[in-house]
Amino acid sequence: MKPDAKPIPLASVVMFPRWLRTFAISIGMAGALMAIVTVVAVAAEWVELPKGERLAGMIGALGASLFAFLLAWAMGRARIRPQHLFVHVRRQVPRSPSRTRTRGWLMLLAIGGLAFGVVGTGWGWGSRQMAMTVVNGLLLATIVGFLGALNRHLHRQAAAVFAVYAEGALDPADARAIDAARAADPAFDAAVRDYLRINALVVEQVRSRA
Amino acid sequence: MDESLYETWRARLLSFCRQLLRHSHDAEEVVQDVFTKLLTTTGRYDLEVDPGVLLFRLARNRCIDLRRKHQPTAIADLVVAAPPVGRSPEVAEAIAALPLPEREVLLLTAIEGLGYREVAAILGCSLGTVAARKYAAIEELRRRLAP
Repeated sequence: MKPDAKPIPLASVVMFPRWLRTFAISIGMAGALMAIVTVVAVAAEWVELPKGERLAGMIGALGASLFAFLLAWAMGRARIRPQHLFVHVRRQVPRSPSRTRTRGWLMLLAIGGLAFGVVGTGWGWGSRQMAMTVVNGLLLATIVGFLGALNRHLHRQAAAVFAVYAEGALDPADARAIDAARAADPAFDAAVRDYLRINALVVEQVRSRA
Repeated sequence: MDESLYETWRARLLSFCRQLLRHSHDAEEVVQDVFTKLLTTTGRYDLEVDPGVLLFRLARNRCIDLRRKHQPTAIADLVVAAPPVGRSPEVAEAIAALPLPEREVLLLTAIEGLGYREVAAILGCSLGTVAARKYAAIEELRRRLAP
């Protein structure tokens, strides 16, 4: 690493993927839109809803919207904490192509089944209980896949911070906080030393061939 | 393009391309192509800002083109491929076995000591992606070189 290179701040590495924030904001906007449409429709007397249902629908839409916006805001501010860095780095990501392919097919099956279940329930195909079982099962599969993707993203971000820190390119103020976490964990210290040893081996090897 | 640029960067680019392609003749061809492109398209590239980033980016893109072109004849390539040299054949083999995205990050940071921002500019990706690839490469080497 060049000694005159500008330090990299830890804050430049976000903890949550951008697509997740976009998804939360989309849900928030959809909820807000539903609440507005309900207010307009009721005010214009296009639909007639009992007072209780009207109130419950509006509170639900506004609540979902507020929750999604808060989630998006929190995700935008969330950063990898120095004391949690090594925990995220140690998350082992399966690199086998067959496992990745299997997960991809499962996700596709989950989304396809979910859509089928929703349509089937709406149109009254078969028994409603069966459709609900399919929907719930696949919803769970989607959540599992979602958590897997998040886990992989967290590992990747933490690995990036780890590499930047180990090579001394991290902003000194952030590096000091990580130093403290490293001093408290011998395994973290050993991992940094191991990283630097391999890096030095590579530099020596590559430059001797140059 | 002045002559000093060629003299300053030729050996570095050649070293990078040779280790990326593992093929001496192809590496020579890539470097020649890069400088020819600079000569024939005068004024298109700004060499005043950071010639290293530009030259490595052009060389890397040309290497990828060449790899794509040569993929059907990969077996023939293996016959004339430059044998792994250097201080340790095990390390050379382990580096050569890395996937291309990880290998190019490793080579760019190791050969020239380029910073993450410069490597990100060469590869056209984010700084986080470069650092994550570097970590993955080092981790893979650690696994392969473990006793």
